[in-house]
Amino acid sequence: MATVRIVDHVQNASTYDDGQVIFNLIADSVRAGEAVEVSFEGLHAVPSAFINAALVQLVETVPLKQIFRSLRITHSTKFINEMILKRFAFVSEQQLKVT
Amino acid sequence: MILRTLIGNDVTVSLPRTFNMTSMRQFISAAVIKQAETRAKKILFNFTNLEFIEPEGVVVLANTIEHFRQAGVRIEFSGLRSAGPAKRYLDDSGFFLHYLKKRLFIGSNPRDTTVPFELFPAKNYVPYLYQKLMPWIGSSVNLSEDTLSTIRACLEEVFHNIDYHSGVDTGCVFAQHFPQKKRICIAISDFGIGIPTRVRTRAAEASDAEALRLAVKEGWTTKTNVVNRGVGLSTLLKYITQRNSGTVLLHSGQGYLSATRGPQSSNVTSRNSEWSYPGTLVHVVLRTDTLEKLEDDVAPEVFQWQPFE
Repeated sequence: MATVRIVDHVQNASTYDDGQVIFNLIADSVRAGEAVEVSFEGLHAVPSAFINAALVQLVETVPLKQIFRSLRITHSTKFINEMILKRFAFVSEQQLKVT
Repeated sequence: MILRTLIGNDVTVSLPRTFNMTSMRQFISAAVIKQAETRAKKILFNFTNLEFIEPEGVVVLANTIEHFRQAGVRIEFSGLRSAGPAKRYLDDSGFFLHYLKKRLFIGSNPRDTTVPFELFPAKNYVPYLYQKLMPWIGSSVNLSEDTLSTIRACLEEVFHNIDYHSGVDTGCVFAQHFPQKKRICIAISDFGIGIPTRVRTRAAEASDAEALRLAVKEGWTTKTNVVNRGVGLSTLLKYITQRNSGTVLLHSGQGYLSATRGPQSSNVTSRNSEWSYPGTLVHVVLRTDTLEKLEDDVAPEVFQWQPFE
């Protein structure tokens, strides 16, 4: 399983651009259905723009179920987990409305 | 009372005696509207009457100056000779050092209770936030930056808003710690296009007050991509009010919105005012006596996907 430790790739997990760096590292593997670990080691909280770009953006090209199967989040905190889950719950709700 | 006088093609605007959220209306109207009406090439800000200024007054004053400078209007200050408390406060903050390249009074120095005055580039706010504002908040309340990282993430939502949506290059932040009141007030402002104008690209009929309500509603966005899927301001309001028991106030256009702690979710009220703020002012009041409990939110937690579908 590939592991992407965020702090190894961006100075701050802050902006959309920072998130895009992480997205670029994981997108192909998630699309291919491969297991990918995204480690938040060293980070305690991140803003929504980072999560949107790094992770939520995947929903544009990958079915939610496949994302949940492939993507493993590690070394995270309560705040980060709530942010990720809230964002994906919202996207899931939107997709249900469309279908 | 704010006096406006026309001297040839110049405008003189006197700063109010107390410069805060209440008096900024008259100040902005006097400065911005009068300059627009007269097309004055020079504005003289008269500090003679100024006796007291709050953090939001500092950012409004700075943004007004930047607004005119970007429009090619020359700015001058007067009434600076007497060292009243507000002028000393501004001098200690570095305000005059920034604009006049010198401090006004002997012995002026940055105060522990205020963050040094600085304008930040909208596209490069990270050094300011990470290396200046957050360390200052941390030292003010004697808490680690790790503990305060959720507050930092919430403030980043405001900075992102300026970067992604305001259409201007510069914003201004000023903050003050009130140890006895156990509060930190952070005022962040830009003189950009403002939230209502942006919201009406998708909700054409919305009043300014309705626009602010939409802007803080989770998931409501003017964007069609994922740059910011409309959760930034919603996250800020929810976290500051419900976890910190703090307050968030927004001024943009004619809209005014306030958010305070509610039993289940934030108490949000928005209304239309008679005057228009030229951009966006976000005023965050943090309670310092509840910051420590935010440590729970940065505790390690195992992540598990939830069955959304």
